[in-house]
Amino acid sequence: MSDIVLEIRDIEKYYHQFKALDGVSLCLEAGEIRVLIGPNGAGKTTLFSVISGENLANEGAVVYRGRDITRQVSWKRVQMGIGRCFQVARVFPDMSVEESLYVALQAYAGWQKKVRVPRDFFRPPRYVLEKTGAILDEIGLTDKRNIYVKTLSHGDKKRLELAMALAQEPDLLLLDEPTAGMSPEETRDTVNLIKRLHSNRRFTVFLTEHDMDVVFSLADNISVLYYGRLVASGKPEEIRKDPAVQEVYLGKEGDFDAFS
Amino acid sequence: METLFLPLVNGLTWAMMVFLVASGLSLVFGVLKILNFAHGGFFMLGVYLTYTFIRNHALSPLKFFLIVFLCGIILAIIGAILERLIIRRFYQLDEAYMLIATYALLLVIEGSVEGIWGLQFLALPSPKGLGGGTEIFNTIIPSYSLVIIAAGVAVAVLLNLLINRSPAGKIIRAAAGDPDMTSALGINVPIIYTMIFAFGIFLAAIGGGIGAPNQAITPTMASSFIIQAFGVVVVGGLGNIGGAFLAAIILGLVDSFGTIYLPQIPGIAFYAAMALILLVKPHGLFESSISTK
Repeated sequence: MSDIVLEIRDIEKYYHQFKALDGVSLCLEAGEIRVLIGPNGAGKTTLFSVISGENLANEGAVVYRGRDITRQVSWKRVQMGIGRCFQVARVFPDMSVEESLYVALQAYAGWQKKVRVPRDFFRPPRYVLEKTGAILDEIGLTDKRNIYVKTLSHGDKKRLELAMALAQEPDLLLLDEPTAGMSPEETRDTVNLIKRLHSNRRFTVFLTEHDMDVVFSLADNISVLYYGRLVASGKPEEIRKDPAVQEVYLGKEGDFDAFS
Repeated sequence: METLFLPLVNGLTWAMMVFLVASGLSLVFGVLKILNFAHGGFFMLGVYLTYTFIRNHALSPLKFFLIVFLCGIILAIIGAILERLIIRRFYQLDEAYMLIATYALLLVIEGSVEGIWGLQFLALPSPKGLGGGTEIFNTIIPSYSLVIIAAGVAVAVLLNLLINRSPAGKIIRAAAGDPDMTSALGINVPIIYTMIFAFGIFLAAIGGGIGAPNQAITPTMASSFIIQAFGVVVVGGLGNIGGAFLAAIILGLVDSFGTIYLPQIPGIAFYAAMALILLVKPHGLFESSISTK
């Protein structure tokens, strides 16, 4: 049995009367790419926000690297190594690409205590300057470094958000629909980017996805969420054959013909 | 030339006095998105606390400004505690609640000042060597006016460096623009809010201390200054410190020259100019705030 990065135990989450998560339990192993699938409204984003700390679970526990973080505030979880990208990219529209990364790296340098006051008060520490170029290269935004974020394409905004998450050196990266709204080329680039980042950085990736080509090209393991319940977890080929999953997708949702 | 120079200096002195109050108000609005009515109260506490340490001694400028700085630190600590205990509870609520809460805080401060220092007028001597007049362009102007103008310009320049040039300023602007996104970078946004609130109060308090020798010290000075500071903040564009600086200068000069040319109705020029500017530019002269650079 390999290392467990994240363990979720019997998570329940209510929004007033509505039960968004109903006893969800799962474990992520170190270094795997786990894809969470399920129809819209299944609770995927809610589960991510319970892991990242935007929302707190009503019941159950979130254990990260052996530490109970169920009630931990979100910024501390980031410092512990949980990075997150949102379904609609959250970026700073009025900054340039480079400036956004400065902020992200400055934040990391700050909480990593790499900043020395007063020496670094009026100019970024060397770490920030060096790392900015490295991450821009890694993510493929070097030629856009001076462009204002609000003028970036949708795909590039998501890329920048990912770059800002990488600046925090995550050990577990949560990606909420990384290819949502992308053109086929952008989708292909994003899949390759995630594969490359994963093989270089050796972190654990937990992502949600609707595009079944993306799911099967990335996933080491797949978990299926259906109206707040986890109905299956396993290797892609097992999931493909699983009768419960076929029931969920083929019986009620017609657009998942990748399973047939 | 001589006839214009004195009102110019008077206008700039008034402008920098109000800017010292408005700068913190604008900074806090820009980052926390709250209008802090109690800000004028902290300005007044800065005046009274400085008075309490100095009384009628004419200190050397160094000692005087050290005491002002110390009073700023004391009040900033009180401000940080108040942010944690009171202000923080109102962030999620409708802004009307925040206005009522900070106005209540202002009333508490005014009441406390009346209770502790009384209703009578007090006066603070200028630091040694800064109390007389200086002759520039054949006009005698109060030396201390130059101190206030220099202090206002210094605060404007330092704040600009801090917010727009320093790495810390980038984080502050990020937190102002999108607190959720900033938390996602591992930043403790609530502590930034506390620090900015306290720093705003520090600015108000040292503004009060620096301006104290130039003012009649009374418990009503908080209300009069907060109204003028609000005017300057609104005309400058909410949350825009550079805008507040320029707005203070424009309104200060309009007020000063207005009093000369229309002595029958003193003080009206400030409000007339403010109303006129806001009629033409309802969002103030400069719309952008801290978060949008």
